Amino acid sequence: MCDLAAIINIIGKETARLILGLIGVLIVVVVNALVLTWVERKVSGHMQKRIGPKEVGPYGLIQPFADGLKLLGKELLTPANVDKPLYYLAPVIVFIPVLVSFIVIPFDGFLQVKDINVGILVILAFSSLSVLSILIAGWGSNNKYSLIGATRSVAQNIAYEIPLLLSLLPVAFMANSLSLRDIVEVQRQGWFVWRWQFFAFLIYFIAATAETNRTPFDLPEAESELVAGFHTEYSGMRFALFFLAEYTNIFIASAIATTFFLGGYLGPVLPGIVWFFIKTYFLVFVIMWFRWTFPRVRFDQLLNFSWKILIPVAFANLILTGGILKL
Amino acid sequence: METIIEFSYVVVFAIVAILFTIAPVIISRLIAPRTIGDKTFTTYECGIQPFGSAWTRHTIVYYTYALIFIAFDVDILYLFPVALSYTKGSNIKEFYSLLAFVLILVLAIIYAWGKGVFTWKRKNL
Amino acid sequence: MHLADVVFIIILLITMAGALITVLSGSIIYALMGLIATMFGIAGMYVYLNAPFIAMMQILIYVGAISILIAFAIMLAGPMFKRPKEWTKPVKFISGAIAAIVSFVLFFTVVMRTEWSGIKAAEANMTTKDIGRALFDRFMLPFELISLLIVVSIIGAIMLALYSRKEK
Repeated sequence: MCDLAAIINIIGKETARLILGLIGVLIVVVVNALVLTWVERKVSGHMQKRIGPKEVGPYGLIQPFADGLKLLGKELLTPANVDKPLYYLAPVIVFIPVLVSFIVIPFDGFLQVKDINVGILVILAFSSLSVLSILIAGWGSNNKYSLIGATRSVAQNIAYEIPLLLSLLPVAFMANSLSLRDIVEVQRQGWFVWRWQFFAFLIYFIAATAETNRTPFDLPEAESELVAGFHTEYSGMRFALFFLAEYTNIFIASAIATTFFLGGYLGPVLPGIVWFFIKTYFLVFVIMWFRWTFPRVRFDQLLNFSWKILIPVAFANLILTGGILKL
Repeated sequence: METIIEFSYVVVFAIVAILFTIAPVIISRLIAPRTIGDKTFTTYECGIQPFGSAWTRHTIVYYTYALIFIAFDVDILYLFPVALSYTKGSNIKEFYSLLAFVLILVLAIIYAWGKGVFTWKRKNL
Repeated sequence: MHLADVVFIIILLITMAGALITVLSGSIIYALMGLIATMFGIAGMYVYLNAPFIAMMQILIYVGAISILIAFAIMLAGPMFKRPKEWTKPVKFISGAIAAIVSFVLFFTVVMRTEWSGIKAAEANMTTKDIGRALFDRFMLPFELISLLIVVSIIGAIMLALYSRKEK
C-alpha cells in the first residue's frame, strides 16, 4: 500500500486541521452567544421603545460578560427528587449536536473544518440528539412543568422535522450533492432563493424557527403556563448551558439557510467570511423580529399548520422542482 | 478510509462538546456558594407543596402525530440518495418515478386528514 | 494490531455495552438510553464499512424517530420505575440464556459457512449516489413499493389509534 511516512503526513495534517478547527469553532460558539444575548436584549428593547441594557460598559456592551460571571457564581441546585444520572446527562448531551454541526458549515471557500460527503445529513442526524436531551431533561427533573414542556417540545420538533427535510431536498436535487460546500459552489450561477426555491426557503425558515423553539412557536417554554418548560429545575451553569445551546442553534439554523438558499459565502467585493456572517446575522435578526411581531400560536394550530399547509406545499414544491429540472 | 477520517472529526467534536459542558459546571461547583434551607431541594411547583410525582401515566394526545411522523421520516430519507443521482434535462422516466412516489405518500396525509386526525375536539368537562 | 482494528473494537464495545444496559437495567427509561447507545454503535459500524449514508439514516430513524415514539409509549403506558424482583426468576434466566446461546451458535455457523468471496469489489464500494441510481434503474418497483408500504402502515396505525380513542 502506501508507505509509513505518507500515512504519518496525512495524520499530522488532519490533526492540525482538527485542532485549529476546534479552537475556531469554540471561539465562534462563545462569541456568538455573547453577541446574541446582547443583541437580543437591545433589539427587544428598541422594538418596545425601551433602550435595553446600558449600565455595564458603553451601550451595555459588557452586559453579557456580567451575566456570564453571575451565572458562574450561582448555586448549582440539584432538587432531591430528580433522577440524578439523567438530570446530569441532559445538559451534556445538548451540546454534542451544536458542536458537530459546525464541522460541515462552510464559513468561506476553504474555511471549513471538514467537508463531509453527506454533510447536511450529519447535521440533521445529530440534531435528533437535542430532541433527546430535552426529553431527558424533562423526564429527569421529575417536575410536571418540565415533563409537559418536554413532551410539547418533542412533538413540535418532530412535526417540523418533515417540512425541514422536504425544504432542503429540492436544493439537493438541484445541486446533486449533500455536501454544503458543493451546494454553495453551485450557487455561483445564482442564489437558490431566486432560482425557483423561494417557497422552499420560506418553509425552511418557518420550520427552523419552530425547531429552535422561538416565538411564535415557543410553546415548550410558554412562561405564562409552564414556568420555563423543560429547564425549570436547572439553575446556574447548567441553565446557562441550555441557554448557550439555544443561541448557537439559532445561529446554526440561520447558517444552514444562508448556505442552502442565500449563496453562503458568495458575494461581491467583501471577503467570503464577511458575507457569510452578514447573511447569517441578518436571518438571526429576522428571527428576533418575529418574536416581537407574532403572538404565540395555540398548540393544535402549531401541529396542524405543519401537516396541513407546510408539508403539502413542500411536496408540491418538490414535484415542481423535479419537473423543472427535466425541462 | 476517507469516511473514517471524516467521521473521526465528528467523534472528536462530540468528545470535546462533552468536556466543554463539564468544565463550567466544575468551575461553578468550586466558586458558587451553597445553602441548606428547609425547602431548598424541593421540586418547584410555583411555591406550593409539591403534589405527588411527575412520573405517572399521562395522556399524550400527539402520539398519532408521532406515528405518522415516523413513516414520513423513513420515506423522505429515501429521497436523499435519489436527489444525488437525479439527472437534468433527460431521462423523463425518473420524474415519473418521483411523481408516483410522492403522490402515493400524499395519500397518507389525505387519509389522515379525512379521518379527522388533525381536528381537535373540545372535551366536555 | 492495526489502527482500524482498534476502531472496530471500540465500536463493538459501545454497541455491546448499550445492548447490555438495554437488557439488564431495571428502569425502562435507562433501557431506552442503552438502546440509543446501541444505535450509535451500529451507526459507527456502518461508517466503518464505508456507508456513511446508511449510518446517518440509522441515527435519524432510530434515535430521532423510533426512540421518541418509545418514550411517548412509556409515558402513555405508565413508566414502570423499577422492574419487580419476582420477574427475574432463575427459570426465566436459564431459558433466556439457552435461547441466546442457541441463536448465537446458529448465526455464527451460518456466517462462517457463507461464501463472502462472491461479492464484487465494485458492489462493496457503493457510494450514496450509486444507491440513488440503483433506486431509479434496478430497483424502480421496490422504490415505489416502499412508498406504498409506508402508506399502508400509516393507515393501519391511524385506524388502530382512532379505534382505541372511540372505545373510551
